[in-house]
Amino acid sequence: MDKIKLNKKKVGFVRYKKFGDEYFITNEIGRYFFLKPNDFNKFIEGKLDKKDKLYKELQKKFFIKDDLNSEDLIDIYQQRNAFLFHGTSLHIVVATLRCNYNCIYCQASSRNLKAKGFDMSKKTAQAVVETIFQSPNPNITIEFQGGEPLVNWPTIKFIVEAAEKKNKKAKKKLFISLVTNLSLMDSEKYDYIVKHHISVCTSLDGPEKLHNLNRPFVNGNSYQATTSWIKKFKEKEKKDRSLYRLSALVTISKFSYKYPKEIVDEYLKWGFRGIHLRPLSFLGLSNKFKDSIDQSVKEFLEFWRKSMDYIIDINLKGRFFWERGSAIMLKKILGDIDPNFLDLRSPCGAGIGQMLYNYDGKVYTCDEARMLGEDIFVLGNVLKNNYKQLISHPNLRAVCQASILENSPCDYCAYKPYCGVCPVSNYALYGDLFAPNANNYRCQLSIGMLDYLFKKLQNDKIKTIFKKWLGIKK
Amino acid sequence: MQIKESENQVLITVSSKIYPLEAVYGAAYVFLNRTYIFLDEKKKGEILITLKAKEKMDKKQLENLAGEFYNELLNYSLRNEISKNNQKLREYIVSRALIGALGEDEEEVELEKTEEEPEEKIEEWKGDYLGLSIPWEKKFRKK
Amino acid sequence: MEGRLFRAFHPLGKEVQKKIKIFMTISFNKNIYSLKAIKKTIQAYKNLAKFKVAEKGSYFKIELTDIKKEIETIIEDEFCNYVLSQVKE
Repeated sequence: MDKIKLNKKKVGFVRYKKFGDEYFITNEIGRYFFLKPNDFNKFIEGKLDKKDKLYKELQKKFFIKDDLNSEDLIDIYQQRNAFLFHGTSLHIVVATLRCNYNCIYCQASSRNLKAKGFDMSKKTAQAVVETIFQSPNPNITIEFQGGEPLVNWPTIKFIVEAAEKKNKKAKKKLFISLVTNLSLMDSEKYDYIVKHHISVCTSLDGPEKLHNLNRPFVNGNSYQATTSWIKKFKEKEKKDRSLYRLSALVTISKFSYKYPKEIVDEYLKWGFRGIHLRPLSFLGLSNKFKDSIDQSVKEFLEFWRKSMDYIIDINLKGRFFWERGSAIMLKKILGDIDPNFLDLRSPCGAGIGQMLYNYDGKVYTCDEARMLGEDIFVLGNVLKNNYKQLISHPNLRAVCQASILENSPCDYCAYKPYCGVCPVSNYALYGDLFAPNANNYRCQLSIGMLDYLFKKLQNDKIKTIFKKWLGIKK
Repeated sequence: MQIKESENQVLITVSSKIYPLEAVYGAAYVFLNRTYIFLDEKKKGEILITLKAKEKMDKKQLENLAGEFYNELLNYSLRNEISKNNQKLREYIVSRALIGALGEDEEEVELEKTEEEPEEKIEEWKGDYLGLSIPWEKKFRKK
Repeated sequence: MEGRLFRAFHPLGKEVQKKIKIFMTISFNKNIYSLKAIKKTIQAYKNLAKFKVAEKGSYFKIELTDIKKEIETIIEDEFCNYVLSQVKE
């Protein structure tokens, strides 16, 4: 690269990176452009002709400083950061740590079914509901996690009913969801779930052998236990379109890497409309299966690209099927309303976007923090502290500050508008809320995925598919 | 540039008048995951940068590594200049956007008062200029 | 940077490595590296070696002793990288 003379009057704030033979530029509101090297030099030196089509396109996307519609820019910036103004929306409730599975990658450090003292009590549950409704956010999601939350079904019912009663006065948009392995589901619980409009998410790691390898079930075949209920849920959904669709999450372990197509096909087989290919986190018990980090990233990205190629192919052949992780990033690329995926924003959602209420009443900044179990991420206890005290805790400020991209070397990265950091992951991997270098674990993952997506976005047919995933018609 | 193939190292000297220390830090940061980097100043105004590759490299690869580092120095300098040049504009946009959003939630909702649940006295948190800790009921109560 | 290896000899003449002691000194230029960054790194590495901080002219001299055997070949490089990352922070 030769030294270029920056034209200070004409060039607005821009981040850039080399993308193959071209330069990829982005700005503060996530607009992007690909420029040939010659055009990039002209742009930086302020030598583009105002009559050129290129100049007009850059001006429209707010890259030209002396021809800037600043009021529109401010509105868009505000819209993209609207999540800052509403307080905690996602409230994760760990009803119990007990679980009837023994998943190899378990991040929740679960306890076996016979363990005592790991269920949320009614007193704690009541305090949790009180605290949740002190959040100023007009949208509240209560998500039950575990262990296996169905093990403590009475507490779940208690919280659901207490929340509904509280909401009669509060009149918020209340959304309740349950993350479960489905092995303890029965007709009575199912009817209750339907009656109270509870959304259910389960885990399906792929075909039977792979799923059972990842998720050993002492009492039998975990794949059979889960899919028998997936089948029932899907059959009911077909008959009643008003029901929430059952969703599923796949956890990619090192055993999964050989089976990208097979995993996607399994989801298609059961009638799911999409999949979320999440990389394995290095938290909790899954640390046991930690290979070298760089190697893990390379293997995962290779697997992910093959899966995405296959998914795009399915869509090109006329069947709708989306990948949720990509869709979240694409929403930040192609739209101005943040998807509010709490790991992928600045600051992250620790405390201000989500809170986790553990079975014992301890409140953590997020579910990743709970998996790590360190006091550095504890905001208080619902039995002693109200919402105001929890959100004012110095631990929350520390984690938020560590995730503000504008304060970090990430601010120079071209992908900054679409990215986020997780201080909890940094702490787990590096012993510090801040990662010690660029190209750390999450950075490599994000760059790998974004490189792929932006390459695909240069293909109009694939761009149209991506827009369909987001519900964008034009 | 001096290549020490047996030690898997390449040494670069840059003038701090052309590349300030900040640019060297910025460029070095990008390379920390694949090289060991050591900085020194033997002669005033000249920064000596030792890059030691973590994986074994031949002479050509070490040369390329040095070339990449020089490129990153240029990149960092340009990015830094763009950032400084637009600092005030960015601050203006961000502060207008954030402050502009604070006055918007004027909508008020009538809430039913019940005899069983007396009104709580709620203190304003002095540091909460974004209003995050104000409970729902207080924020949206009809006056 | 310097390092020396001491070998302990058994009084009966057999060479026995009772304890292998390695120490090294890393010199950080004061114009480039801050003491704060060095101290933060020492804190992070406190379980891997013992550290002494001294100043000589325009350098901070960091002496490492009692280095854990399993990381003795890489600690110097990793320590320098960590200090640099903290300077950037």
